[in-house]
Amino acid sequence: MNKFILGLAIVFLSPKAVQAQSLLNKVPSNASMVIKYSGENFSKSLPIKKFESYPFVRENLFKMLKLDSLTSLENTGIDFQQDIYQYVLSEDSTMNFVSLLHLKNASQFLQLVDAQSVAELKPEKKNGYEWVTVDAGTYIGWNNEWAMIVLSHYQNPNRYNSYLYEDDSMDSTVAVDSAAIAELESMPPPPPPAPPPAPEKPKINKAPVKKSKTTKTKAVGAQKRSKAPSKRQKPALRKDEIIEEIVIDTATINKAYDEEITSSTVDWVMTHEDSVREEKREAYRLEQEKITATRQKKVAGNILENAFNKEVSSIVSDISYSKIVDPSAHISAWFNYQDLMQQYWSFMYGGLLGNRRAGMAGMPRTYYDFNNSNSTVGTKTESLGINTSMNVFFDKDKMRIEQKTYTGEGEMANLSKDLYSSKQSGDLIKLVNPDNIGYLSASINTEAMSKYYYKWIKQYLGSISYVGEYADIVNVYVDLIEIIIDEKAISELVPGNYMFVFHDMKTKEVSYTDYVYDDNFKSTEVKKTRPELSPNFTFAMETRNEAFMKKVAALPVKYTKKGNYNYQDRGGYYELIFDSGKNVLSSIYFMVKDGKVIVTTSKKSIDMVLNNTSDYKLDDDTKKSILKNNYSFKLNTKRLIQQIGPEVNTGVNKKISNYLMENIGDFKMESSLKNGMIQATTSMAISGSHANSLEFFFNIMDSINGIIKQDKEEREQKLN
Amino acid sequence: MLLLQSCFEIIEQLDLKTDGSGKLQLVLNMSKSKTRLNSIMKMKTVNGHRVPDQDEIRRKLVDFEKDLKATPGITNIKTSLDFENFIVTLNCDFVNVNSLNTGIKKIAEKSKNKNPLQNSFDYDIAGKTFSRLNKFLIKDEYDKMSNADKEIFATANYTNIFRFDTEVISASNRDSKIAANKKAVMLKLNALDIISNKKSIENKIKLK
Repeated sequence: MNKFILGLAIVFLSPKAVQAQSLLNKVPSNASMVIKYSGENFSKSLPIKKFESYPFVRENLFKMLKLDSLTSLENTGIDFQQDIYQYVLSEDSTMNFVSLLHLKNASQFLQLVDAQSVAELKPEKKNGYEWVTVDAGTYIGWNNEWAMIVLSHYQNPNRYNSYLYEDDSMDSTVAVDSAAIAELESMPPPPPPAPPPAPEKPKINKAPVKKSKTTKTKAVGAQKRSKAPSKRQKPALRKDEIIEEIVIDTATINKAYDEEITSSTVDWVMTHEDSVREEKREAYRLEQEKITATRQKKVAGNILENAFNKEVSSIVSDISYSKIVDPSAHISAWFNYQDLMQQYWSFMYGGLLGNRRAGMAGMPRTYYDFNNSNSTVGTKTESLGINTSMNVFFDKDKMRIEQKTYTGEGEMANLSKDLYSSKQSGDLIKLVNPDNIGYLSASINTEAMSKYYYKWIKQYLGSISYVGEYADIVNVYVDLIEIIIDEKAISELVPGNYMFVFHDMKTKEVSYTDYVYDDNFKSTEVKKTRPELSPNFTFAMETRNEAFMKKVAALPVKYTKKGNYNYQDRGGYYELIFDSGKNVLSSIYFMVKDGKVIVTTSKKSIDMVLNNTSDYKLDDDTKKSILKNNYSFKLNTKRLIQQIGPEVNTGVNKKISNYLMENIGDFKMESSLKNGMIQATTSMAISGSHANSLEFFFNIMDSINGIIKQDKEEREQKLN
Repeated sequence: MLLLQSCFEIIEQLDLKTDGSGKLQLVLNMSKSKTRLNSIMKMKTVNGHRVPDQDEIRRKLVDFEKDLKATPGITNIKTSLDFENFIVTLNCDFVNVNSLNTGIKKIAEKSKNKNPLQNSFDYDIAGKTFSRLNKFLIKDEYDKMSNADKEIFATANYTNIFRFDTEVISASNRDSKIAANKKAVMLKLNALDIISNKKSIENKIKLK
C-alpha cells in the first residue's frame, strides 16, 4: 500500500519536479541583465493560437522564422508553456546575449534551427548535449529538455594600419599571408584601363577571381547547397588563395558617389600598387574575421558547456535578484546598473580603442574561470551597486509595470532613503485641477540628491574602463566639487518640491501671410489667421529663499528695451507678452509668493495664488497619490487626444486617434520608498473589448496596421 | 508626424512681353506652418532629416543667386528670406525664356534633382504661343517616402500666373483660368495631384 501511495506521489509530483528545474538555475550570477517571460502567464493571457492568428504576426514573425503559413508555433518544438529566460553576459571582451528555452520536441526545434541557416548545419556532440554554429556569432546548444541560443559579439580592437603594411620589415604578428602578397606584388601591372566616360566616376570593380588550392570539406546533406546565398555569406577571399586577375570595370557607376558628382570628370584609375594595397587590406580583414569568429566560438562554447555540464552559481541565489523580481509577472527584467555600465565600457573600449587592458579592467567582478574545469561558475551571492527590476503585468483592465530599485550597499541605501525623505507641499496641490489633461508631481530632497549624485558620479566614472583606472583622482575631484558647492544653500533655494500641471490645449488664432488675386490675377499680400493649438500649463516649485527668487523674477523688467521683449510688472506677478498672432503662446506669467515660484500660461492659476483661493476640488485618490508618493503622474489620454483632434486633420491620423481614444485609458505613475527600496508603479488603463491588456496590445497593433494598410491602398488608388 | 503636417504653397508668376523678355517671381510660402517651422528650426533632425539652420539656408539661396547671375540673359536678381513668416522669394528679369530655362536647370542640378530637367518655358514669338512645360516625374520618389514625409504634401499647393501684354486667345490646360482682362492665365493645383500626374502644370497659351 505504501509503495502504491509512493508511486502515486511520484506520478503527481514529477511534473512539479521538472518545473522546479527552472532554467533560471542556468543563468549565472554575474549576468548583468536577466529577462524572464512567464510561459504560464502568457499562455493564459494570450494563447498561442490567438497570438498567431494576428495577420501582422504571421506576416512578420513567421517570415522572420521562415515558417510557412500553415505551420503553428506549437510545432516549433519550443515549450511556450514554460518560462523563457534571456541574459546578457560579457566574457573575454565578448558581449553575449543568451536565450534559454524549454523544449517539448527537440527534432522539431532542430528543423526550426535548420531553416534559419543557409549553410548545412554540422552539429557537434558533447557530453549530454549537442551544439551547432548557425553563423559567425550565433550558436545553439540543446538536449532533449532545453535549448540555449548564444548570440556572441566580439568587438575586434585591431584596425588596419596601412603604414605598418607598407613597411617591409613589418612585425610577423601582424603579417597577413605573405606568400600570397609576395606573389601579388611580383605580378606584372594590369593593362591600362580604358579612359572613364565623363561625368561618371569609375567604380573599381575589384573582382578577385580565385582558384582555391584547398579542397573544401563536403557538408552533410547536399540539398542545402542549392539554397540561394544569403547576405551573411560573403564571397570570402581566403588567405591561401591566389589572385588570378584583377578586372577594372570603368563603365560601372559607383552609386555611392552619384550624388556628389557634379560635372567634373574623375580621372583617377587604379594602379598596380593600389590593387596590391587593396589585397593586403582584404587579407588582413579576413584574418581578423577569423580571429573574431574563433574568439566568439570559444566564448559561446564555454557558456554552453558551463550551462549544460557545470554547476552554475545562479542568479537565483542572488538576494538582489530574488528581492526585486516578482515571479508572478508576465515579464520581468532585472539589471545591475554597475555591471551593465562596466560591460558596456569594456565592450566599447576593448573594441573601439583597441585598449585590451582597458577592456579587461571593465570586466565584471566575477567571471568564469575557463581554465579551471572544476570551478563553480559565477560566485556572487549579492550584486553590488544598484539593481533594478521591471515587472510587467498584463491585467484585465490595465497594463502595470512595477519597478523596484535595490542596493545592498548600506551607504547607497541610506542615500536613497534620504532622497525620498521629503513630502509634497499641500500648497502646490491646489494648482491641480482633476479635469485637466494631466500633472506631474515630484518631491525629492535636494540636499540628499546632491550627495546621491556625488556618490553616483564616482561609481559611474569608476565603471568607465579608462577612467576607472584613475578612480582615486576622480574621487578627489568629486570631493572637491562637494566642498565648493553649498548644497544647503541650493536646497534652501530649491528644496525639491515641484508640480507641473498640463491644464488643456486651447485654440489660438495665429496669423499667416497669403496672397489673393483680383479678376486680372494681380496678386496682393494679405494677412489671415488660422486656429492653432496652444498649450496651457503651470509649473510651480517650492522655495525657502523667496528674496532671491523675487530678484530673479524682477530682473528682466529693466532690460525689456535692450532685450527687445515685452516683460511687464503686473503688481504681484510678471507677464512676458508675445506678439499677438505670431506665437502659439500669448503670455507667460511669473510669480514668487508664499514660498512658491510659479511659471504659467494660466492667468487663473496666478489669480488663485494671488487671492489665496483654490477653485479646484481634487478627488481623494489623486490627493493621496500626490501626498503619499515622491513622484505622482497622471495623464488623461482621452482628453489629450480629444484636444489635439483639430491638428490631426488627415485621414489616417484621424482614424488612428479615434481608435486610440476608444481604447486607451489613463496613464498613472507613482513612486515612493517602500521596504527600503525605491518602488514605482506605472499603469495604463484600457477600454474597449479586449480580453486583457496583453491582448489589447496585439489588437491595437493589428488595428493600426490595418488602418495604415487601408490608407496606403486608398492613396495608391488615388495616385493611380 | 504632427510636426510635419504643414501647409506650403509654391507661387510662380511670370510677366512676358511680346519680344520674349520679362520677369519671373518664385515664392515659397510656408507662412501657414510658421509656428511649427519655428519649433522644427530648433531641432537638429525631424523625421530622420537634418534640419538646416538659418545661415545654411541663406548660403544656399546666395548660391542659387550666384548661379542665376552667371547665366547670360538673366539680370536684376533679387532674393529675400523672411524667417518670421517663412517666405522665400526670388525675382529676376530675363531677355528670353531660354535664359530662364538655363538658369532653372542650373539650380535644379545644384539641388541634386534626380530627374533630368527639361525646359520649363517656351515662347514662340512668330506663332505667338507661350508654353509652360514640364511634367513632374517625382511619383517614384514620393512612393519611396515615409508616411510622415508624405504628409507634407497632403495640403500643399502650386499656383502659376502668367501675364502678357496681349490678350490670350486660349489656354490648353483645362484647370487654368483666363483673367477678366484676358491678359493673364492662372493655374492652381494641389501638390498631390501634380505628383501623381493626375493633373498637369503644362499649358499652351495662344496669344493674340
